[in-house]
Amino acid sequence: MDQFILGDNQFFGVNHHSRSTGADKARRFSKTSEIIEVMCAAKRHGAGGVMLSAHDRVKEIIQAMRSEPELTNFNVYANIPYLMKYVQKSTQAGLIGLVKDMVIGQAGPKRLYHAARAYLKKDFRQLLCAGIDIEMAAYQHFNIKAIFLHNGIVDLVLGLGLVDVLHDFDNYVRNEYQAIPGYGTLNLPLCVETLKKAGILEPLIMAPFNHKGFHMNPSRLANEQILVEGGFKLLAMNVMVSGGSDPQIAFEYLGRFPTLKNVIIGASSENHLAQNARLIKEYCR
Amino acid sequence: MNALIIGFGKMGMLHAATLNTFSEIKNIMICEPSHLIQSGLKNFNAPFLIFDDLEKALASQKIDMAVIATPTSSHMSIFRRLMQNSLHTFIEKPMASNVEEASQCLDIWQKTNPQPKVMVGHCLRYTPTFQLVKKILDENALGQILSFTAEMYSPDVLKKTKGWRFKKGLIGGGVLLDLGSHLVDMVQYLFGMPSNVNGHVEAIFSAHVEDVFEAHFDYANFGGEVTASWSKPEVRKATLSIKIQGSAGDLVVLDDWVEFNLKEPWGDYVAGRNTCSITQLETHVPFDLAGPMYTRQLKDWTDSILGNQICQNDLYTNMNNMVLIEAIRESKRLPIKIQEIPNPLLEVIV
Repeated sequence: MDQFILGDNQFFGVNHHSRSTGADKARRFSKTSEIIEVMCAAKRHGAGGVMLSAHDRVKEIIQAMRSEPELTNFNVYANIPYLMKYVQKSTQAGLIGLVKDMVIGQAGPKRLYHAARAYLKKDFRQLLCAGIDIEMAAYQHFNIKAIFLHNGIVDLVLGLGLVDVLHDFDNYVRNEYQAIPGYGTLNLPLCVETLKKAGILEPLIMAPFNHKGFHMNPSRLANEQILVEGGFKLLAMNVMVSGGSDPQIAFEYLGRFPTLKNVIIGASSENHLAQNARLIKEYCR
Repeated sequence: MNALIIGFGKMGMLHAATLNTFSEIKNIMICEPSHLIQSGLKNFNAPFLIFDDLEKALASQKIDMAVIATPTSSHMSIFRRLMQNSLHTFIEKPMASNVEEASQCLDIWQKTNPQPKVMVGHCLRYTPTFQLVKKILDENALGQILSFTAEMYSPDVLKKTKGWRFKKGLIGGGVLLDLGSHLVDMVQYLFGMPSNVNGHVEAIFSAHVEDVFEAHFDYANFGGEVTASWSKPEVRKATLSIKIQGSAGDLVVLDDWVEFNLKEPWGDYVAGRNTCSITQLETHVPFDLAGPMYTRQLKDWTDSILGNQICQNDLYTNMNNMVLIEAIRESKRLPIKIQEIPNPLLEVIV
């Protein structure tokens, strides 16, 4: 597991601090070459890999990564599914329309039989596996280190108490992709507790962790306590609150937690990457 | 309390998941006619009782509260049935397909005894940026309002589409009842009810419903432009923005950002330019799924039930919301005089 992972929110216009900043970055990164340049810079500064959401552009990004010799050993951390795509589809066609579209519209010839069979048998456990394959197709098995289930899905599953979804995801990712299953969440204590109940030991969890407590539900204290208790590996996200924090203060806070060693950061300039790399080495040892 | 979720689409799922984390909720029951969705829940051993029919669900055991998250055209008839059992009810927005149905809902509720707590799901009222703007306006920090523009855009409809939202008979309108319901509610929340509305609607991709609307809202001393489209490819997700010009300052607000210029200091804010991002304003919630505002909204509703308090987004407020939506639809660029429905619940708060 890499200590420093480059995030991808900046590439796709996501910024929790300011939507207009996000939109500016999205315009800049509409050129894939700009994304590759940032990845190369991140690697030079010690990042071991990049988190890539299953965005419509992930296929072209992976192809560009394959063609870049500097990124030969750069790990890919997949984050599936790209939720906005599905939210939009369910608004247009409803939940049933969404499932049909996934099976018929997106499965592709190789996965159509598998997906259609699961759909006709109303076997959602098989459909979940088909869904993982559909989302992962764009990654073309390129240096996949871990596959994260998006926090929107994990939190939905936590709320509904569908522990079996987590179980099935974990098994399928380990067995079919030989990758580490990961779980995004905005509700870290509940996620840790639920994964424990599901019998998933030492899970990899990606959750916000920052000195402002932003998105750390139900409270910053509860998140800190669960991290101290341990039993899981945390990949800290939102550590600088989308650029709303002083980096020195942000990392000093992380340094208070000796078990916290893995950080995902969405920097986009050489200066920020260098600064972050230095701070990660200093505070997340 | 035992809660029944009627309709297990995107919003029903979200509300079920959130309510299931509340310590006050003992059991969740789902009423969903789709065998496909029922199979999904059963496949994964969902810890809920699942029914395909409302009557069976209501007869099964004691239900205290219900969430209506079905296509809009069914809201009124389901609401009528729930009121026969005096159930506390949360209706996903919009309240109904049109003023007539909304009026019937209000009438049914007024005649229900005992009167249950009813809320309509306009979650943006629970977003800290808009709440800050409400406070700025309530405390006259911008002085006399001179004008405003309110816009809401999403990339949801970029081609001819089939779902229930696009069939006039099922819902009664496209973007007006969808994004427009949120936008008009926010305008009502911040500025109150206008005296006149003048607007028009247009279709871009949809055959039976509108994809865009533009309207002018007239108030006693100022006016505002209100525009929405769900066919904007350049936005990443649904975005509501409001600009306000006042005699003592101006303001721009999005759901994650507020920027305002003040002539005089106000509270902790200085004369001149002030900015606030959601990262500074947001507070924790016990459980966050798709945004803290959804949790706060349901918490407000359950708290109002348990504490017998007034909740926001009541039926009167939403009846007025429907009046404005219908005025925009019917205006055809001619001014329509707005008859506000008085809200006795607000008098109770005062």
